[in-house]
Amino acid sequence: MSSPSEAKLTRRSFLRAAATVAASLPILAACAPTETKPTPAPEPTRAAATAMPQPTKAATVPAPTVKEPVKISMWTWYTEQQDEFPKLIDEFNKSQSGIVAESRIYNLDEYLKLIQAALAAGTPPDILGPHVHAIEYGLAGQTVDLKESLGEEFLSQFFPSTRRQFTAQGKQFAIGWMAQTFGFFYNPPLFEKAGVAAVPETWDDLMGLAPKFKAVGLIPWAFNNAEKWLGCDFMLPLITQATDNPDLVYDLDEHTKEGVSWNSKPVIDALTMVERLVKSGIFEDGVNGTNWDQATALFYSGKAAMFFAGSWVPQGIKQNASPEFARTYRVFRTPAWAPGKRHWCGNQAGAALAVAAKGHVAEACQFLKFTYEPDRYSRIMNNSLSMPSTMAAAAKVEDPIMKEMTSWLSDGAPHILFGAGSWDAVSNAVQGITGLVLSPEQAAAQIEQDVQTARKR
Amino acid sequence: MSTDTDVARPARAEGWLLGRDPRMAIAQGRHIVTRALGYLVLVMLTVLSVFPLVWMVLTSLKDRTETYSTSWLPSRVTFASYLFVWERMNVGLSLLNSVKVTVSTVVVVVALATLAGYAFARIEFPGKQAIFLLLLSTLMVPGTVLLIPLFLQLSALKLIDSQLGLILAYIGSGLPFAMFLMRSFFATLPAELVDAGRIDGASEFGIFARIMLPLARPGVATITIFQFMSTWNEFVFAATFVHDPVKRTLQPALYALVGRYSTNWPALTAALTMSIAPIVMVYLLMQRQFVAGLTTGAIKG
Amino acid sequence: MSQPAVNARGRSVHLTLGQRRAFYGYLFILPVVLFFGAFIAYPFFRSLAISMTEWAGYDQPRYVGLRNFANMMQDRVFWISLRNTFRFTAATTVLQTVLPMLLAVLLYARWRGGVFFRTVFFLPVIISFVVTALLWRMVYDANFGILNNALIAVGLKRLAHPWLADPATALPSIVVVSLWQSLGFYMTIFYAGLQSIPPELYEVASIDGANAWQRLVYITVPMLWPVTTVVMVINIIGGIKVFDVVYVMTTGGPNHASEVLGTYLYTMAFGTSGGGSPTTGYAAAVGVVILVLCMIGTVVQLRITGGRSDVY
Repeated sequence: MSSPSEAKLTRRSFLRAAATVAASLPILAACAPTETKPTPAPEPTRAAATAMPQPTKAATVPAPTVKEPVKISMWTWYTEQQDEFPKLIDEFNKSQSGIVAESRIYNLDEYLKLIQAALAAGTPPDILGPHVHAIEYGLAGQTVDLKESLGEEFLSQFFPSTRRQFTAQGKQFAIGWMAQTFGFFYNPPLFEKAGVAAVPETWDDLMGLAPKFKAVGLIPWAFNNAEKWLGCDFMLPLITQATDNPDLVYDLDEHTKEGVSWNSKPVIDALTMVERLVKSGIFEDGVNGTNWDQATALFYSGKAAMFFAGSWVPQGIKQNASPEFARTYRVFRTPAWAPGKRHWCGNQAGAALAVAAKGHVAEACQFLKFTYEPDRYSRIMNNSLSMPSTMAAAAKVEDPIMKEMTSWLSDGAPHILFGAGSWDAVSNAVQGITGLVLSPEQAAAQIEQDVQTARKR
Repeated sequence: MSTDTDVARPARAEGWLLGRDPRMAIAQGRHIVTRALGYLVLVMLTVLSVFPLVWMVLTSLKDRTETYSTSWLPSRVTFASYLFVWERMNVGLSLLNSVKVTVSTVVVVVALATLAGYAFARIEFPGKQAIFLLLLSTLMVPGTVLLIPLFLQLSALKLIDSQLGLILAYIGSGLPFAMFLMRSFFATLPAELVDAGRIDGASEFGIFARIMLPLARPGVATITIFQFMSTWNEFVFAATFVHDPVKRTLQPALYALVGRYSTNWPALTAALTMSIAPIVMVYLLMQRQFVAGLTTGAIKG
Repeated sequence: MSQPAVNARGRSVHLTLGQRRAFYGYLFILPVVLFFGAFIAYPFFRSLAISMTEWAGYDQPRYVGLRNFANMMQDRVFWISLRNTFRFTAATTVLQTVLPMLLAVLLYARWRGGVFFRTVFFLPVIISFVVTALLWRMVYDANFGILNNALIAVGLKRLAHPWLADPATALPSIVVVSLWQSLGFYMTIFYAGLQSIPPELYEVASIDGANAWQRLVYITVPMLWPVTTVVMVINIIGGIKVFDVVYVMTTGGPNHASEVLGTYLYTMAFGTSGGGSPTTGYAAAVGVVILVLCMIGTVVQLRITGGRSDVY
């Protein structure tokens, strides 16, 4: 039945099929647009349509008679400026002809992987949001010292706290974009319902309110510690509150000074305060199992009276909560350690911008100076309900709640950790406290142990 | 009414209540109870499987300010989110990119995996065991670990920000699993068929193409579905290897809707609903094409 | 066993039958091996090299030999992850092999709307993790969750629990989610396997007087054995490697209660979105450990299932 010729036929037909598949791949690849478009979202549908019928023309570009504009790219996760950035880019590109800028906003989780990979491969964007690695990137030579590139005069318009968090070895590696402070958002009608007349001044006052809210079936304070970061934002300023010394957290974070250890009295005191709050019944059940969406749902839907978070919340409320809720909610300051003491609250810039050393540094700096021009920067921040990092813009904040929160910047304490292993260690230990699994002493010891393990890596 | 494979079925189903034979009536009664229980289990599982989809669709029809309301039903049905996603988020373009990337990947993977799966199942060659275990070890490598080296490699080949690079990475990572499955499906088919074919003098490729492949259609359908689904839903490689918004596939484009602090849930669920549709279609297609009416002609003949 | 063979050019080539067959064997697997070499083996070996460096990804790598592995042994969080991973793998392998098989057998008995059911059961598999996590959190929510509400409604208020917050119930809750999401997946594999079983076997058995249970045990299970082995191996490997479902439900918390090797690896590789520094070199070392464990797990499992496994 089978002859060599038949065998040859099937082999040939197989090889032919394989060849077709192999050949089609490059064609498919060629169909993909090969040029990166500098302008964001609105353009792509048109670009794709024209790119497809003409494969691989991108490689040959005729010698330019006019100097090619320099292309710079900015990668961030600042979805708050989703509407504002395209306008900014447009304005910038129209205002001059030597540089063409583009902005890409990614989701944070994906951004972290992306920027890791891009830095490892040596192809980072010109401007990037450095996240908590601002100093590490700088010390590794990946981002430039902005004191040199932007100049001291430019940098002096920023709040000192936002400058300090990005400074190491005398160099500043990033500038603050959106600052933040933390406070308690609350629902005044629910306060009335529970018979609470005034907002609490100290933590003890706050704990005293718990029974009143629970008596009318409300959750006093909706708190999400599933993601771990809010626990840190909340606990770290308590260390400053306990000692009135904002430098202590910086020292703990850097972990290089003699005798500085997380297993110390100020840390234990702060953790004890957290434990007391948990035991007072002020939180909902299962704090460690509640995430941001669940906590905000409790607050927006009127099941919880208070919600501790940062100044990025007002924009969220405007977008996601009912209009009625958006009109009635208010905010009060982080309670103080004791009557008469300072209301230290977290105040560092959550979002920053850095310039890649391997990018077009001069052009990037020009873009930054354009962006931070007082009127422009102030307008962007107001439109996106974000807190500015420059003192000039801070004076021009329009929204009343944002205005109030901005005024707390001067009572700010560090709440972001940059050191190796610090954040991991602290955030997990705080979960141990909020879950009443660890005692404050155990938690402090655990932090110190984990930080030392991490620093050995 | 019931159609089942039970051979010992009474010839006359009706009139059992008036039943001549009480044993038959009991058997039938038990049979109906079993069927009813079976249906109950299936229906309960259906509810469990479907409730997320129901939630997704309902939320996508809500107005954004209703996101946190406690009821699942929108107070006012609106398609605004679908429009928003289509226009503002370039979902059309991303969808097209996903189709391109996924179809290319699936075609190549299915072709190569069936071939290799058959070889491992039914052809003897030296080193087969060792090579198979080596390929199997691919499944054991955590994807996270491959991400940076692969990125560096593709970057050196200038394949970053190129759909071809992404496709190649997908094929490479999808082949072992598909091949593994196909091998086991081929192993389930009787070896006598292969031997018969060889005695008849058919070429190896002929045996593969004309005898084994048609019988392995359930397996082929299965790996088609799986590869389609895993490529379509894949996020990490897609987000890291292709940055240009114009070339991006669907999943990374969708995740742009997930903000750290404020997710636009109606828009996200609208986009997700749209992205699930192709997978469901492919699944149904595979079910109809390959599964229904499988005959046993080859064995009898 | 040799016969004169003729190659494409018509020249006589003395290949034995076995050799000719082997040639085709190699030819058929060649593309897969090439892809494997280029896109798996090469990056993996690179990653192996990285595992012996101290590298953050954005600075210069520094060779440190086996120091990463030594540090790993001293990290208490690593040991917690290891323990949790074993528990998770054991639970999911058993549940995600037995239950889908039973479901496939159930569905195979030709029901009205069989296609409908099979499609519906496959839905959880294709729903993205974002939605899965959100919905299961709604189920497990300590205050207003569906599960607790249901328990209270039937009078079992004592069982209502902060499922994801309690260290004792966090991981088991995630096992349930994993099962839910993979039931349709493995069921589809078993179902395809069932279709390869010749119906004559069942007919003959019924004529001989076998009941449904006997048919299951003496025909279905043995005939499905190659597929079952595959499913078990995939489950074991998947369990040891698990990342997505755990990360998305609890990110490994609270306080590492549900930390598994996969989440541990991820945290080391990319830092966390709240903070934490990436240590790519160390992460690669964790990846090597996961790989080795998978290999051990697979070998052990194949040994246990013995010669009937027919995997090779």
